[in-house]
Amino acid sequence: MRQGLGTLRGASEPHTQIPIAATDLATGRMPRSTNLPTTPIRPRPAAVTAPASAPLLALLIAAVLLLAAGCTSDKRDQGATGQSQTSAAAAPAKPLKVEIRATAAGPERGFNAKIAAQKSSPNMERFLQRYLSVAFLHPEQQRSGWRDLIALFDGSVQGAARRDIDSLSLGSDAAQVKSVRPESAKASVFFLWREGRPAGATVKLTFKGSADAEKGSGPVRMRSVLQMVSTPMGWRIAGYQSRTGDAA
Amino acid sequence: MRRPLTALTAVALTVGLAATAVLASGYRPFRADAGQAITVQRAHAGAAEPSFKRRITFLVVGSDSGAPKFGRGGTAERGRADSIHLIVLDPIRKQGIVLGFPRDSYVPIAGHGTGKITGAMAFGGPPLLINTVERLTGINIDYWVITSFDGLSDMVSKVGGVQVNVDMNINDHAAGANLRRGPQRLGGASALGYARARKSVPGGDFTRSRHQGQILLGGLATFQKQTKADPARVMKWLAIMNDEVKTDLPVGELLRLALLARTFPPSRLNNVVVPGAGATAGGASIVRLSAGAYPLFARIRAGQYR
Repeated sequence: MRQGLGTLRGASEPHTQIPIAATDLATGRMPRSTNLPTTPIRPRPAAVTAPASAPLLALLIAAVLLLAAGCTSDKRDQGATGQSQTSAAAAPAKPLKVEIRATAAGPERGFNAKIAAQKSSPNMERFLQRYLSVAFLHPEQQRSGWRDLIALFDGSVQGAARRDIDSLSLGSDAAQVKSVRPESAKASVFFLWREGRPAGATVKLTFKGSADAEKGSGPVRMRSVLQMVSTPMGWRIAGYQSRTGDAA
Repeated sequence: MRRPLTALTAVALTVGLAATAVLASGYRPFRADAGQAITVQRAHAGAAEPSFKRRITFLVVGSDSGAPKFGRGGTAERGRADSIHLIVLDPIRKQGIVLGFPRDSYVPIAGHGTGKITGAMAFGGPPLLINTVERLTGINIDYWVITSFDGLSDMVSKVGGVQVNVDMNINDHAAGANLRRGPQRLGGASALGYARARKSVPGGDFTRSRHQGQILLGGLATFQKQTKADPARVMKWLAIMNDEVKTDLPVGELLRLALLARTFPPSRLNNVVVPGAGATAGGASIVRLSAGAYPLFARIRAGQYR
């Protein structure tokens, strides 16, 4: 089921399938970066007699080596195992952040729209992180027919979502994409509350990113209006209008 | 002379080593691919609303109770049904019917002999009214929706009025209607007046029922216009409905129906009133359904709405 999601092919080791935690995708977070082992550099004792330029030289070489290690980390990060190592040289990749602006409507009496919007937002943010992560940050999802993305739609529109997959994700363009760097993800959400909980929502979602392909790189865009319904399994998309590429 | 030369050599050596290390690491300050902007993603557009694979029927009822602003106490679902409309939607063919029942239609009511259909809800709430309509028409009803005088006028006011083609001049003080013929936007009070006017209009109860159907279809057209301009209005309409109507529709189904309604052309919904004629029974004025009513029900059962 999650084969496509649970593995990422390491760029530096093209034949190795490296498992990552499925929960990373459940939360929409990017995999943690690899903490690369670095050669420990010991400063030379100052008392040793040597030409005055030697310590400078050693420091410069050390700096260059560290710089070189840092410059290669981008590619190796893609093969991240998520195993924690203690090195100051590595910085974790930023998780996909969705900026949410929310309002809510509910019963006339005893309803606080501000509090309702605040309470509803975290779950919606997690849903949107997952949506965008599956739709754009994992081109390999195409191989499974975008199964994990389609599962985020209500049963009544899953057929339409398969048909419109190009306007809801990387779609057929995923075949040429090596990776996507998210640049911004913003959502304006209007929640409908009923019987003390969010029951529906309209989400205006925009996503901007940059994709690397074999022959170069270019922008990735999506602009959507998602009509959401709350189900026992969580939020599901029950209707949409969506555009991608130059149409977004 | 020797020391500056050594220092210079060291710097040169350092720079050389640095360059070698950097290049050996695979780092390219100017990557050939990064510099080349290409179109990775082509332009696409798509839209969808929920698809229903079956016919949907619901009974829309206007109650004479549960309207404090009009001095009507009690609860809406225990009042008499002043307006009764069976709405049948065929989502696949995008067509359907709004079928109005004159409130005085004299029909069998389970456990209560024969009486005016308006009384069925007062006797047994929405379940008995649904049972009465189902037995009369042979059409299964999926859901019910009930509002009151207050509910209708407030709902129309909150959505900013509904566009209706008023088909006659009406001056009905009792109903609160003073309208000129022609297409216009009706506010809450005017819409309620148009829905209530009976004694001053030709055709009485039949005309009133047709006018009520017009308001339902006007509401649908207004909903479509507003939600096309701003899709978030779908939830706003549902929030308003939440306050002003009672229904047994689960919220998820209500939302799916609302999304379906965005694409359902009002012109494909036939506004029809069950045919009948005025009569009396036990001294009370009633409506006896005409023989033509039953073939109409049969056509609807068969999916013919025109």
